[in-house]
Amino acid sequence: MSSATAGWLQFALLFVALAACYIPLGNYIAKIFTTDRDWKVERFIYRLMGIDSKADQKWSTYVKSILAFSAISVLFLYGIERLQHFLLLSEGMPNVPPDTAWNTAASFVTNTNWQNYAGESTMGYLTQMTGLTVQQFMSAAVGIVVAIAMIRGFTRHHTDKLGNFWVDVTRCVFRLLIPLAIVGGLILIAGGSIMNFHPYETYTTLSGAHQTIPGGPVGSMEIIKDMGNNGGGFFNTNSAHPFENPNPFTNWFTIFILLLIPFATPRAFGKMVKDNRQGYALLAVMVIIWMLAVGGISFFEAHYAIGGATAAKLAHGATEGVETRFGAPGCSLFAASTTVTSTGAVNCFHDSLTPFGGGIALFDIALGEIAPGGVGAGMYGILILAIVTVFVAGLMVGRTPEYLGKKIRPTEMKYAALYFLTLPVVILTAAGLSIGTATGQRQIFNPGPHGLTEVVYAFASMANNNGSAFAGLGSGSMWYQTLGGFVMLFGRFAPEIFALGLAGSLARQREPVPLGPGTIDTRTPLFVGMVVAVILILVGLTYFPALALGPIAEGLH
Amino acid sequence: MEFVRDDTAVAWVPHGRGISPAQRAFMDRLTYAVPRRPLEDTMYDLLYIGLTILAFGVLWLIVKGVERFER
Repeated sequence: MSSATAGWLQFALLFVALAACYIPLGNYIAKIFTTDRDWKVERFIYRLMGIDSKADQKWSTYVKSILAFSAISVLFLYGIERLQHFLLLSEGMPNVPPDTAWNTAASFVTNTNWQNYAGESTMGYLTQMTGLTVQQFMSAAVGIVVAIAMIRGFTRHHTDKLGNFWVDVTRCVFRLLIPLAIVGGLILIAGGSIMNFHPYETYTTLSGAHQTIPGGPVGSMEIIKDMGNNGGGFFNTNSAHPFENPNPFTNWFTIFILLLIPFATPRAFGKMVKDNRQGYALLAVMVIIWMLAVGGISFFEAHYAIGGATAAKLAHGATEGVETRFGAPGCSLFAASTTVTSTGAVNCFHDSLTPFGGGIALFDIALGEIAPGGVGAGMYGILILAIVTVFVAGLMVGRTPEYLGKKIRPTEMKYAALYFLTLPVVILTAAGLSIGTATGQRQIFNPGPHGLTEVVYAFASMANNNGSAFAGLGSGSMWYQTLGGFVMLFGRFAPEIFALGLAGSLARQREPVPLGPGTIDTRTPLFVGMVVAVILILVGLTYFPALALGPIAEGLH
Repeated sequence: MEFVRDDTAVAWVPHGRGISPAQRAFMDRLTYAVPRRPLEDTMYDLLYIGLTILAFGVLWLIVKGVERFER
């Protein structure tokens, strides 16, 4: 079987498996957040924390709860990293330096998992387990509950309450993430991911050199790394490391699990708004963009040899930086899936992708986590872009725009505009500062367009909570560590503030607007096409100068 | 297509007028991992705790600003 055929089979199997999970998992997610019944363990936690589980919060209280929880999480994780040498299971690792510790804390609390360190030589087992892995659960839960609160904005009327953050996040962790992580983790461990507390062992190789073999609780971190769209690996080489991702089956399963919750969330949305076809419409948008990304990267990686590169022709694709166990098709499918979600896990070196292949990965990230996006983040992102589409369509036919029975008024559009503009402002400002200052320039190790791509990719990845990198940038310097920390915090929480503000504004509207002859049907292929077009045009126009001077210029060179 | 990777040297050379020794030292601190003394680490701990408070404080102010805008 050729590697291309194997790649297409992987994709087809992935499509079927995700389709099979769409309805049951989506229904289950909707049920988690709509039922009134609390589990015993949840009631115990509410009593312990003094939470009234029946008391809903208005949007601003909801978002303040998120900010308070996240601020404490950053400081707690920073403390663990800075004190790890004195804690159990440190494996002799020294304390993490302050700038790396802060960048990592901001990174894991924001679901980014940008890693300016090599896990196996920087973090002890306890830090990996109680610091990083815990945040991988909690940051994923925060993303999901923001999406749920956003959906409640559409389902509720004449109220300023969007739910209770503490209840939502507790339910999300106990009913969704932990059960899925246990099942998925066992599958990964059965597939060969390691799971132990063995100290590192040193062996002498046949050539007389010494090699250190690390151990560690990898399987339990690996599953939430992918399922929660976190991406931060136990090892420096992430999913290219055989202890994390041992074989083609675990590679396929990893891709499946990182797409699972984002692709099931539109079903939960459809279920909660009591119109499953609305969910199918948004799912179609996500699938179209995902397939374009997979097809685009696969094409450029497989057909790199068109220009006459003999080595690439012999290897059936661009194989620099590609893990030979998975080949160019396995790399392309993974790269597309990890960048259209906010995962950022990698099984090949993104810096070695062909210029256009890497450009698509950058464009995927710039889309802002919407196809299907990060867990939760994809849902609220695409809902806002659907609102923008309805607004544009309303202007075209001269009608007041409506979506799901809610009027899209200037107030809602201001929130949507603020949401959409936040990320480009954060990304392009940070990239501009790095390119325009001597301090930033000193860490760019590749000349010309590729160097520019690396800087833009870095900040796009950080702001969109992706975490993958074009690694030819010296991002371990204090400049990039500190600026990156701010970019991640503002890239994550500022859009969430505007998304929840928009949800609050929608929930306050009195009665649903009845359907009329001028109402745009948001369940049709026409609307799906319009959303796709609006997304591609908005993002394309926003980032065109950077894409033109970076990957496009490099590719045409 | 030519090979673009060059790990041996900084590729983007800073342009413009010469920089003072103080600026150079500050840039070195921002650019390179420099071994630090324990007291210096404590100062950096305070700096990053302060930056955390600053970042979340600004986000908090954005929420307050939006609340005011709503009214």
